[in-house]
Amino acid sequence: MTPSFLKRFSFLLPTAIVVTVLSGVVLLFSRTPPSGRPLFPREDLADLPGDIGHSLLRLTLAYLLSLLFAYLYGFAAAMTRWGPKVLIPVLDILQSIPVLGFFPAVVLMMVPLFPSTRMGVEVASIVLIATSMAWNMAFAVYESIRTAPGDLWELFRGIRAPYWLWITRFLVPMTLPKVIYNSVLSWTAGWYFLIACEMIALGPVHYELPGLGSFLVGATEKGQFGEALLGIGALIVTVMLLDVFVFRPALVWSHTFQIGEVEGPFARISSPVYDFLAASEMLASSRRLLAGWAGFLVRHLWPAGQSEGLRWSRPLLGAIRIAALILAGVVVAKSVLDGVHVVAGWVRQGIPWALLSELPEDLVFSMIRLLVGYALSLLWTIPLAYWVFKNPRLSRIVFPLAEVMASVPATALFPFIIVLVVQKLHSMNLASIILLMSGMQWYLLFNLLSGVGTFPTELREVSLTFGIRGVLFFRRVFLPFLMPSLVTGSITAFGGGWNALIVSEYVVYARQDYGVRGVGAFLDRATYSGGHPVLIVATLLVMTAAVVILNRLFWLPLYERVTRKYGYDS
Amino acid sequence: MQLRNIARDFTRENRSTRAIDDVSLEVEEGEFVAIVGPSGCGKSTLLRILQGLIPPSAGQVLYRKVPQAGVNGDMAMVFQGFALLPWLSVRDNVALGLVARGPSALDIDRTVSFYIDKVGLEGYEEAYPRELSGGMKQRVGLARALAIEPRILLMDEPFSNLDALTSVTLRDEVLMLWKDPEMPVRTIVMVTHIIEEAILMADRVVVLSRRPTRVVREIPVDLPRPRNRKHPDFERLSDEIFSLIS
Repeated sequence: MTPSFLKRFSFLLPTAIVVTVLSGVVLLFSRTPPSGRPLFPREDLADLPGDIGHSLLRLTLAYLLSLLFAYLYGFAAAMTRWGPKVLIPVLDILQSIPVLGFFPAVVLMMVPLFPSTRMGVEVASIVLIATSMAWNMAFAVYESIRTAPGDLWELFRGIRAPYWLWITRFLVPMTLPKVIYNSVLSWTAGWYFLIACEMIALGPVHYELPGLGSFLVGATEKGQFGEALLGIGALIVTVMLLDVFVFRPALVWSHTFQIGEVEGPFARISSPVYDFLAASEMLASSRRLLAGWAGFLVRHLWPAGQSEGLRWSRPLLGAIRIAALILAGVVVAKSVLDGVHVVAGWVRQGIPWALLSELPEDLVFSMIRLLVGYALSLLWTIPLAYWVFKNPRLSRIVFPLAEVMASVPATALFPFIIVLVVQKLHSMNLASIILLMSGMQWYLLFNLLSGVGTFPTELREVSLTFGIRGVLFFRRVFLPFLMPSLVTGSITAFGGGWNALIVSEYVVYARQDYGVRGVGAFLDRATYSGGHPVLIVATLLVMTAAVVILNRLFWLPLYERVTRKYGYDS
Repeated sequence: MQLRNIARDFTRENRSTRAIDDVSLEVEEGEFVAIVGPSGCGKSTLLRILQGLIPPSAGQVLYRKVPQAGVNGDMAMVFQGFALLPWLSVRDNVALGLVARGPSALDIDRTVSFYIDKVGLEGYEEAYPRELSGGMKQRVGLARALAIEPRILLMDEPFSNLDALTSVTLRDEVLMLWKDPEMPVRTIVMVTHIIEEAILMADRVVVLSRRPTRVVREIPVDLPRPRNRKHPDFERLSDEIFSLIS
């Protein structure tokens, strides 16, 4: 096959990927829905430490899985010719898929694959949590490699570095600052999804996943608010301990790998734990020992002389490539055929057009709720940002406080909010908006606050000398300066919002379901009450399409315009 | 080594432009050649073609009369922006090229210490690039290149990221290393945009034109070393090259 021949058909690759993914989605939902009795949440204060342990273990495994994915995918995207053209757009779509919607389907698919139901549910939850952590890290790997200075590439090619040296001294260190920074963000997202998974599993899907999430649901359902508060307290403590003993030291350490000046919101971060570890002689000697062993291993695995790295013979490489193509073709053909077969089966059953026609309207309802949540979030975050700006000393209180608040995965508060709002005020709509807000507002606040933190002194001084004060200052200087931060915050806030839709429009609580009209609720109902699979697939597609279209046609152009117009270069 | 009718195209927005056109150049063993030219004329690209990092679009690179294929391991590059790895200590940075070749740890240690001493970095072995001044950083870059004991040292504007005073001392040190009998490096090819620097250091100055780049003239520099920039011949040469470039 000549390159030009391949090039002519290069459009086939993305098409094949999309078709395969679509078929995969279809197959995923062709399984029969769960038929279990509702589980009674087990809840006992003595279980709390064990539950935290379970949650942490689940999260750690999910993180390792997503890290592995991020490096494989990121390297492939950055270092192959078709990576930026195919893998990156695919990643962009993947990251805008509301993954929570897939949880029940993934559970159904995983359970038969494992000897015990419990194991299947565990694996499904880990895979799902990993998908909430992986995308931004894969982007981090990709960006770090693509922005690596050309000099360094030439240096390593010039010394004819073997593969292991490329990886250990260049490719991996290069990625560490961005990957570690994104790992911190991923853990936050991970907590959110972890708790959500545990709650979904317990509620509508009827499986038990012992952990903090199920503990919180159990405690609130029994009306043990004290215990639920204790659970949230334990969660906050866990998150903060992780921050002090893992993330801060890791962030400080990652600055060692920064090329050029250290920038960004974590530039001035300090960590006594890191200082202690770095100064510790015992750690240094054990590290040297480890490095020695690793060096020994590497030398024996890649004996000297193979300095150009692995060299495949040409015919072998060609054979592998053709075999891979055939295999990929078979997989695509099989899944497409199966998908078509399944869809044909659905069509024979009759497509529930009446229900399906509600979908566009539901999408509008959901969007209105998102917009209201967004507006309400803006209503308190912008004044707070301005207030912090006016009284810089406040940032010392507001920042840590906001960090603690944001560290509580919003999903952990769901049982509370439902009990308070639904049972006292009888408005699921209000509860739903509050739940949405809890998944959106922190992105706004943190982006605004970090924008305030970079407000240049000279801009402040110019305003002072020309007597620009009050409303004029707010409208002509402060708000325009914050525009890029506001847009970035809004994009991430809506990203969080779409995911929150699935858990916030429809809640099963105390064996009673509460719902409002919206795509999230539509999806949940279709999934949990054994609705027609077409409904589920259609909802997921509609949601994903809405997210992708909004990103492409609204947020990205807006972001570019705003950064061009309001970007401040001193 | 020889460059024969080298050309290099590069594509931007699907339009191919000829950056380097028909450049031929010969470098003898033991020679110090400086390549000067207006900025953006492809001097650095030429240096990378020399080492085999970039393939020429046309023409041939001959090394010891044999066409060169791939990256030439007998050459080492000193970069304008130092290209040090911030996550490695001075010692590990210098050792990088040796580690790639895989001699024993003991040999690496010995060679690295030798070259660290030679460039005047003793006492800084465990420091990290972040903690060093520009001059010190370029010393690390120099030691790293020398440590693989190349036959030809390639220098890409090695002093242009340094302040004036530092570059004066570092120039002298490079010349001393070049004449040092303990050094295996006999041949140096340096790219620079500073005319004085070229005359001060090189045996021969190759002057390149604007794009598409050609060799305008090759000027041998026979001034006795150490050279004095106040010498009338120095100034005459300098004026001559200046008029060729501008």
